[in-house]
Amino acid sequence: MVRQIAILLFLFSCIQSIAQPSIDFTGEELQYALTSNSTRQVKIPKISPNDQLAGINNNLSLPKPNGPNLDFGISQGQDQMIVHSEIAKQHQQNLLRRKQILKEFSKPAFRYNLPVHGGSGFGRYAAAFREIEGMLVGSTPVDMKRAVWLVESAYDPTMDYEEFSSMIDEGVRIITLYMAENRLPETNMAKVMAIFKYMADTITVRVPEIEKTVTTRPMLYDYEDFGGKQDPTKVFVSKLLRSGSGQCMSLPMLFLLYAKEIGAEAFLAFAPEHTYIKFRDGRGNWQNIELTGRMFSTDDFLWSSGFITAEQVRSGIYLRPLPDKEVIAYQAANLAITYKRIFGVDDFVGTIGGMIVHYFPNNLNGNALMYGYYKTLSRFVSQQYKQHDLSENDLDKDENAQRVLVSEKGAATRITKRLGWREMPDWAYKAWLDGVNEIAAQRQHLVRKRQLEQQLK
Amino acid sequence: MKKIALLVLSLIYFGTTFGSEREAKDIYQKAFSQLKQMLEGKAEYSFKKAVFITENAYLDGQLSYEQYEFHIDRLVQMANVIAASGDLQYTGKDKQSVTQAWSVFRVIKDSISFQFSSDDNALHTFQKFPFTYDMEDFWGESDWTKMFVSKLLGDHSGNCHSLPALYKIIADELKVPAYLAMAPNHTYIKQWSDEMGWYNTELTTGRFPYDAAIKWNSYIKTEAIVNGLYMDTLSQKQNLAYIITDLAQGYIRKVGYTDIRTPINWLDIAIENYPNYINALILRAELLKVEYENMMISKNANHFNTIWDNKFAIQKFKELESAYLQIHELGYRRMPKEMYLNWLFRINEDTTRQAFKFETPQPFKDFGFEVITATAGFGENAEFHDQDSIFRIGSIELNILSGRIIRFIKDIPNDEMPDNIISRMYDPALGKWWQIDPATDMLEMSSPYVYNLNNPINYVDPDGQLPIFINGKVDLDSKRADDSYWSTQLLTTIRNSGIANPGGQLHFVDGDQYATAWSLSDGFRMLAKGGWADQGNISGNRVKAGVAQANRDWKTILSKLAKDPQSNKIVEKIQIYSHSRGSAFATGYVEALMKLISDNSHLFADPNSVIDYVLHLGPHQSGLLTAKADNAFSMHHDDDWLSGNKIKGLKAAFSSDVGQGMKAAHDTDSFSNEVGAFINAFINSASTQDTIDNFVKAAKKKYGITITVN
Repeated sequence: MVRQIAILLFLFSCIQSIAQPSIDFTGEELQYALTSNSTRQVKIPKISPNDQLAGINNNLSLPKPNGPNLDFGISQGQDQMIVHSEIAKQHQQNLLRRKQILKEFSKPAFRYNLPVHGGSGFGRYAAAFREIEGMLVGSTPVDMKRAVWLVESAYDPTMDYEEFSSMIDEGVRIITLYMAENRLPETNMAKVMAIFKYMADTITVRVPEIEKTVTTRPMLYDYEDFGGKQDPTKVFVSKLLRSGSGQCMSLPMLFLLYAKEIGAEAFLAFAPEHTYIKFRDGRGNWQNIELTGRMFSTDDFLWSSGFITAEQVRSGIYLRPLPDKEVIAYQAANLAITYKRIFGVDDFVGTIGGMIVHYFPNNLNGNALMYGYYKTLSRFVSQQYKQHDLSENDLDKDENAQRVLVSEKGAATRITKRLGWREMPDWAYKAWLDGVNEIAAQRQHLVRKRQLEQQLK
Repeated sequence: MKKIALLVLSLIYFGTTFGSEREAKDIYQKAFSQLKQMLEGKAEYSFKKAVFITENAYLDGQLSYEQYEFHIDRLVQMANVIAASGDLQYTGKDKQSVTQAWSVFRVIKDSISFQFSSDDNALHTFQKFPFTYDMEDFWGESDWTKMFVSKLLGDHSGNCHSLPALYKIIADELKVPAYLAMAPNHTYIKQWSDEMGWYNTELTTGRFPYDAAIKWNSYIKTEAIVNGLYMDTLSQKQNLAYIITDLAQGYIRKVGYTDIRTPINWLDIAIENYPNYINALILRAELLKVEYENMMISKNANHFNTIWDNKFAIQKFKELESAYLQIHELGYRRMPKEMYLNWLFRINEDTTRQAFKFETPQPFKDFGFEVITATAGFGENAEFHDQDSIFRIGSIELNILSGRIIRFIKDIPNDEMPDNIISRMYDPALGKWWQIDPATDMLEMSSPYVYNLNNPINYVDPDGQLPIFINGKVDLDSKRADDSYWSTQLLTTIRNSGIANPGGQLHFVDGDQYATAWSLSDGFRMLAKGGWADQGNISGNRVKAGVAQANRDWKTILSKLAKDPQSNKIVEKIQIYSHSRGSAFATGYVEALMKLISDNSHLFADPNSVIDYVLHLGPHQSGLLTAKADNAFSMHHDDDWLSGNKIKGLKAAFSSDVGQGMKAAHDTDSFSNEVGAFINAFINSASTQDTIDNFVKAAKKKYGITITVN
């Protein structure tokens, strides 16, 4: 379980090479990003000829803004800015060159958008976005496993779909065998229990195809870099599958994938800086599964550990079981987040955010992306003003700039007032941080307990 | 001021006996149409007026709006003065409106001195006491006017219905945005600050609980909150619906069930404007039930299903069922009795009864697989809902699987929290006890001004005169640090003694503790309760316990002492009473207090006379004790062989022959008269010797008690 909303966004680095063609969202495509009323599909931008005036990614060191953490919503409590000096130098050179070019024109040319940058890897992101968008629009069936793989492989292409799929199949096979061996009925409760057993407990099954008895160990919580701040793959399901340990995003997501495979009904839900599983028990009452602790939890536990407010449950940003498509939208948000790590905030990020908010107006991730996008855009606009030594008066008269500022303010208000998002109190985060070791110790206790049980069997 | 209070009080008392039923109904109809006009926008909206209309209807139109307004205006003015003079440590951009909100809170909950100059340029000090929680009949069961703001204004005490209403009225006058919000059987205030977002103000305890705390303590299902049943801010129309529901309840209290249709119609309008208003929904359902029961009576039916040969009856019953079902479907759940009782025991630190432990149900029970469930508490509160299919709502039981009512409940047992239409009180002991419940501390202090250290809020002691009671050996844990240890007569005597402390709280300390060998992180010993000498409860260790406890109580005590507004120094005094075993503890307590006062003398106007006196009543093992204060006395009764008069360092030791037999002579009750006489003498004397002389005289004259002075 992780908390602390510390950074809205930071720009990792700007991979800018002048020789690279720049990709530009224009007119229509931008419409989609800036308003969420459009039902049209976004067009993947075409590569346009080399354009020196393409917007330069701002390698700014941002102060701690107010707003949800775009980095998977999970952080370790400190701003981290990584500035590459070579890129900074290039940036300086670009600025000078740009100023020279601009001086040649009588009227400064402003950008009111954040042009998308190409770079190796963009293609994967574009393709991933296309497929995921199709699921949301309804042109292709919802396939969570595929969506997860698309997001993860866009960032880390070393695992192909077959491999990912077969790793999941392995788990499904064990779960199915477990159910058969223990003669569990085909009820939802039994299926959910089997998945929980597999992920949270040690089980032993006979696997006929390899003529062996296999013992599987519970999947653990990896405390190191649980926010994926240093290494984004820490939050990946593929990492969990490969290493046997994950965190509060990958563990519930994997549970959900297993559930889909064996036809069990379970839902993902959000809590502050956290995701977990909800399902309905035999009486029809909702239950919460806390896979990070390999246990269940009550609503009161979630409310008090997350300082959840009435406004947040009414707006639906927390504690709500998500429909399948919203899980897909959540994956789209994750796509935007790893994209941002590589390329920075640009119109692609804005497009994804706009798409999510269009289908799920009260989705926190989508709104956070939009807020981050507008914040960056607004800084970009002001920076351009500074570069051209223009005054605030000019800013006031500039309709386009005003539109950007209004959008930024609107996004901020939306998140705080309409959705009810707010920062966790400092003292609460510290208390939680202190308690993490306690949880680790508890875990040891559970492990010992289970070992004892195994011995006694 | 006193006259007006008397007038209001007398009107409230007499008002309920005026008028005939016809007249009462007419007044109520008029009141309703006035509220309806506000609702329809035909009359100007005013929450203040709406409250008045409702209360005045019950009081047969005898209340004076002028006086009501006058009281409120004065509070508004005081709030303005507070807002102007205080400097709230708050860094948000909305500092001004938060400061105003803070001033409303203080005008209700704080003890403040105001200075004003009159026409002749003389300077007067006016002491404003907090509005307190009236512990008597907080449900308003015998006296409906207990709910009223006019009553609150009159005698300065109210409950969780009138206190938030007054807050809202004052806030409205100051144009401070403040909203009523609902919790089960309870109302509180929600406000917005730019720094914190929404925060909750709980006026009974003066705390600012997080939503999670309210939910966990009130047994609220998440779904109920999602559906807007609780924790939502009420709009103007919803406020009026709230008031109309009050009107309906008052009407029933006034004229009984002679006319059920009228309040039902009113409730329909309230519900139209506030569809998920739980109190209105429950009240309406209960009234429909009464109508149905009347039908049963007219047909001599003893069970609700025996009149179903009548189509109309069937239809009425179906209407009844769907009313209750709707309430259930919205997420309303009645608090389990055990949870309520647990809370009471926990607050009272009563360990003699076994607290009910709510076990988390095992989801995979059928498969024999046990899981651990993380909970917010330790089983003291129920965190699961719907483990059964039978639900109680109001006075019926519902089977949710069939959707049918299965039972009308006749007798509502006493120890249940009354969840019926009339009760709107939350926890009866809330105002008194939540301050000392350690479990809720963390989740209870979330507001933009709680950390304002400049002006600690004095919401406990109305005038700062702080009588501290240190009890001796208890026979029930519930009596530790509790007024139930002390005889009512003794407490009443002290309250009426003339030491200004009208209706104020007294401070109770458990003197039946002893210091163990271990120290805690604050540097003082860990204490243990009760037990015997062989376990460590010897006088020496009790003295040490007193020292530790005083150091731990220091901040609380400071916060209860009022200051002079000009110099900001503490001017109020402390009086200390100990009994039996508590006397040893008390000597340590006093010794530590004196050191703390002297170390912090800059806080006091007169640091050399903060403690008025220390009175040891029936001190146990007196020969082993030494009093450290120079104004300590003891009182001993001849027949009491558990106590003696041998404490060293006393100013005077008094003995008398009050009380026949050991028990009577030792009991706290037996000291009532002497303590009364002593306080009287103390107030009217200039020196300690005078006090002693006057005490002896008064005891003889008033009570015929001969006091021997050693």
